[in-house]
Amino acid sequence: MNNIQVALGRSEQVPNSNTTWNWKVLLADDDPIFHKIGHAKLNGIGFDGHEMETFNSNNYQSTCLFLQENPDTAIVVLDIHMDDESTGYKVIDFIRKNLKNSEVRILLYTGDSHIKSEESMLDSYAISGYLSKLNSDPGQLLTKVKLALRSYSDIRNAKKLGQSNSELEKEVAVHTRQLLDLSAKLQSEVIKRKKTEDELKNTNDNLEAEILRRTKAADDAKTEAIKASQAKTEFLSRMSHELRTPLNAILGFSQLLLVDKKTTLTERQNESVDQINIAGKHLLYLVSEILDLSKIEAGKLTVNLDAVNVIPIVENCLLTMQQTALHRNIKLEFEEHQQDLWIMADEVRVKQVILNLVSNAIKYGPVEDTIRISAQLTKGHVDIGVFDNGKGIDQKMQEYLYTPFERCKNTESDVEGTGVGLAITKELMELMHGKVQFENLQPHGCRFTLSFPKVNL
Amino acid sequence: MKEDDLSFLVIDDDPASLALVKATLGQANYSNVDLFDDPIKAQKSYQNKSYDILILDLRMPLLSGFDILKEINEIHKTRPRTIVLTAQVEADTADKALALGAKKVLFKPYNVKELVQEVRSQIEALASAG
Repeated sequence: MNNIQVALGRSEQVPNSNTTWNWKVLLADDDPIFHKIGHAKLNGIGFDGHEMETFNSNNYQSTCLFLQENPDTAIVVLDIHMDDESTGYKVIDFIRKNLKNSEVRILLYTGDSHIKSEESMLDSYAISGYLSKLNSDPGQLLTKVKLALRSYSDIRNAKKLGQSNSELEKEVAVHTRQLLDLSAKLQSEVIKRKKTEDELKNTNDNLEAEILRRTKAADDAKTEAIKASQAKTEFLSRMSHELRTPLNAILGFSQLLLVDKKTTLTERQNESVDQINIAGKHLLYLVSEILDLSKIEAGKLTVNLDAVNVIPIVENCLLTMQQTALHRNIKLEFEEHQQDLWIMADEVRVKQVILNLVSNAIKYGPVEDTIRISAQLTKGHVDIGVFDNGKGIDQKMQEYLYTPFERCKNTESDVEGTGVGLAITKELMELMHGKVQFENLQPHGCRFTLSFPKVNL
Repeated sequence: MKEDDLSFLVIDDDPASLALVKATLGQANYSNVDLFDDPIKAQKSYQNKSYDILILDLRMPLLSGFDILKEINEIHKTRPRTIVLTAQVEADTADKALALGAKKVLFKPYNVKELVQEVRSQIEALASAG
């Protein structure tokens, strides 16, 4: 837009001119006197802030040459009669047809008396005025030249404006094209984005389908796992029942052999029957443990809580384990304790957890050791502690202590057991609102502690 | 009441269990014992004969101990007195058997001395009932 405003300025009125320029006025006449008069009347006269500058030519050739070389000539004061009586008309033809210069203003100037009237001259030739040498008034020349200059200036401006318009139109066309390009680009961008969006949506849909699929797979896996777990629980329960029937006969007959007064067994036979009985009872214990575990896993293990005195239960357990301890030269020692310590618990289960800890201490502790059992009243609790002098349990192993089938000793251990005892102990203690804790002791040994809620009588 | 006068019916599909009951009773000098490892055959027997003591397993094919308990109490009102021996150690099993008229439930493996004691206390109960 800027260049258009500049184009409308006066400084641009005449092409190829910089800061100062003049209105070029060509005096075409074979009479040198007219050159002088014209120069005197016109040269240096200001019009619209610029001066007029006169040039001379004296025939068709010099006139045409000047005009060809100076397309910015504003005015030609043209003598019709130079080389011959129609030179002026030829010059006009040359200007308008050959040079195709429709801007330069032509003032015809002639001394011929039989020349056509000014009006007819204006009609016939594209000229701006007509001067007669016969009644030449110097003021008339200047007036006519200025009028012609005004006309020239208007034409130039109109042309500039036209040019500006066309430039503007070009500009508009360029911008329109740019806009169209932009629009097309935008449209393709929109299409591209729409495509991307579609793809995204597609991906999204696929993801959703994938998520649904995986969720279903996870659900299926969960259902499978639950089924498998139920099957395992059922199997454990069935197995426990099935094993009890043959055990019944094994234990029953060995008991009969021992109590039968009619048959006398040799000492060796008696020992053998004893062994059958011990092994059978152990097997029964394992079977019971497995049944307990299956109940824990099915959430069916229950306890009957009642106020019980824990001291006789501990004593009873120690009596039960006496024989087993002796086999490993282990002494069981009940530390000094109160006569009665009442706890809220299930008597059968209390016996089970104490037996489990004592039997573990016997099995896993060192031989020829003393296992000490303590019974103490602490804040709101009765703690039953089972100590041995063994090497304790690695920190690393401790986290698996209460996990079923994770036996702390390595699997090649020759110590028998199912690895569910402590898992059951923990579960039972929790059911009885108590807890079981383990700690290694310094410099050696370890302690399991059972904490039961005490009863105030 | 002399031991030989008392009649026993023992039903258990496991022959070893049956043999153990027979040996246990034999050691306690009870010899009038009918043993069945087939509950259907046992059914025919108790339908025709009245026993003093019934020693009964629960889980058996074709005819369960529960079925037998139901039926035998329909046929014979006061006897036999029934001791159930079962490997099904759940508390509700015992409750169900007692509700159907069993006098005592012992879980396998039971202590043979305990079985003998239980037999004796049931015989005493029979005697006092006349």
